[in-house]
Amino acid sequence: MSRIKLYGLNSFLLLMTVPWFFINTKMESTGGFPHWALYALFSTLIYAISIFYFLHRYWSISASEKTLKK
Amino acid sequence: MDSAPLLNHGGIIFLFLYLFSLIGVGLLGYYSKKEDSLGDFYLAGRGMGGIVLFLTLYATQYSGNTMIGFSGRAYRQGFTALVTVTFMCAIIGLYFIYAPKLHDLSRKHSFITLGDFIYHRFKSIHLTITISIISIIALGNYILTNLKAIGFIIEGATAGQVSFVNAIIILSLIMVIYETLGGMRSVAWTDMLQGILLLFGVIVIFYIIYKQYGGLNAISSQLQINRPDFWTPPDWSAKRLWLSTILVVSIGVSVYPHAIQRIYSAKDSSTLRKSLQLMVFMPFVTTLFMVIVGIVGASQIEGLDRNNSEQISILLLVDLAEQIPNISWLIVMFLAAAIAAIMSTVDSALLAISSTVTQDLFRKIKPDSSQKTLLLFGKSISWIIMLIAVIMAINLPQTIWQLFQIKLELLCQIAPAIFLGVHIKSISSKSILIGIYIGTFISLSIMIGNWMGFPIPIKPFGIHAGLWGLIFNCLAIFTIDRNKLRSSIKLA
Repeated sequence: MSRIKLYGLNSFLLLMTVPWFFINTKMESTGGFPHWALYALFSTLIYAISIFYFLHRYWSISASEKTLKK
Repeated sequence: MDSAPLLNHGGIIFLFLYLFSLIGVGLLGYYSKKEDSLGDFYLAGRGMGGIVLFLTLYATQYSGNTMIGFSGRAYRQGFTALVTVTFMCAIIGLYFIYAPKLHDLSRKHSFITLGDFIYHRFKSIHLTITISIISIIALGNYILTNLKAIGFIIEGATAGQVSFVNAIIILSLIMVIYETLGGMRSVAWTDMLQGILLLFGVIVIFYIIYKQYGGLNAISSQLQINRPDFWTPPDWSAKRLWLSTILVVSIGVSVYPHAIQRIYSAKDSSTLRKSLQLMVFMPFVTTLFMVIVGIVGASQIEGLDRNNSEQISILLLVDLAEQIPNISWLIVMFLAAAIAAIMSTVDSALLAISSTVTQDLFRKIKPDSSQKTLLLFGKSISWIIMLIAVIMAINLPQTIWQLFQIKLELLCQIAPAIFLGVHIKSISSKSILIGIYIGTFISLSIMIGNWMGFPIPIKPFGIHAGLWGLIFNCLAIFTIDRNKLRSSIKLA
């Protein structure tokens, strides 16, 4: 994966942590969390797992001396 | 808060023993030094191992705000405070972009400060000094606000037995002593103790509050009656603000000069990588726990205003201690963890300022100074900075206090120099410098204009002033360097 794609994916996953798709108030909850809050929490967990994986798998790409690839 | 002291004599003695033990750690750092050099003093000889690096990163990034501010925010705003979990994770996502390369460069070129990288990359004294001054102002503000917080915490906890002024003087003295004894080594080792105390404190307090009050599931029906607004998802402007908060905090925090020095201090890239991999999950056992404590608090104690809501964790602990006297030790633990969190941030910021003044300003004027002279100068600077900070924290009038809360907005403006500077060779010092000036001017104009009563919202269109500054900062860079950028992408 190129560096631009990697950083783009990083940004996209971060953008998706905002509960954009929840509009109406529902008094339902799971584990004590309203569903939109649960979404925010789980999407953040997915983001964290992705960063963990990127750090493990693509560290050398991010450290590369080469300039940005398209 | 209740006027009776939260800490009994035993608690105060425990707290002071812990605080003075930090000087012992400072002495250990002093006797472990390998040589009298800036690299050894400010970067612990660039040999920081995995556990120390992880704990010092952890203790530095989680300040008193984690223990006090996040739960207070959750008490007032409910589940929207979960944004704090996201921005603490996003900081590591941003490190992934620049830390791997910056670490390699720092080993190759023996960087000590952020200014070293800036000068190496852009060859501009003007840009290096500008970034150094912005860093010093932001870090100075950080020290000031945290010193003030520590004074209030100790005065409140001892019901005035230790006054605000004495608390600030004693703790500042302890910090500056252990810092000047062993530099980064002492700071990192005390950070280890403070990090363990912080993590252990948060987990135990969360567990006991969660268990005693029955957890989120049990309190959700009560919460739906008390605070139905907690169930309302953020509307479009609040969602914009949510994203803006993530960006402004994560970008600002990710370029903390003291965090960058920890990137330089790592023994090797594998150690740094593993520490960051662990750090990305820490918001789930630190920030999230304190947010839940705040939400539990909202179901138990109603009607607190902004200032009192910041004390929600301690109010819950006092409430529990009245029911179960055996757990009054938890209050000592909470206060010790909060003080540890604040101290670990202040000492790191102090070390970063001292190194920036010595390496980026003094050494540029007197390049032939010996390592011994530079070290002596750096240590003297630590004492002078701390003295100024103490005097200001004690005497600063409330009317101009707002000015000293500008930190992240300033740091955001130096982010392009690091993120773009690391990866894009064709970016020029001229564009970065003009971008910083424009971004800083816009951020400060919005904030100060609002405080002075001009019809400017503090967050125009739900976006923070620092982010507006950053947007125009980047626009300036891309406009000035557009031709070079286009050709560099074509070449790649």
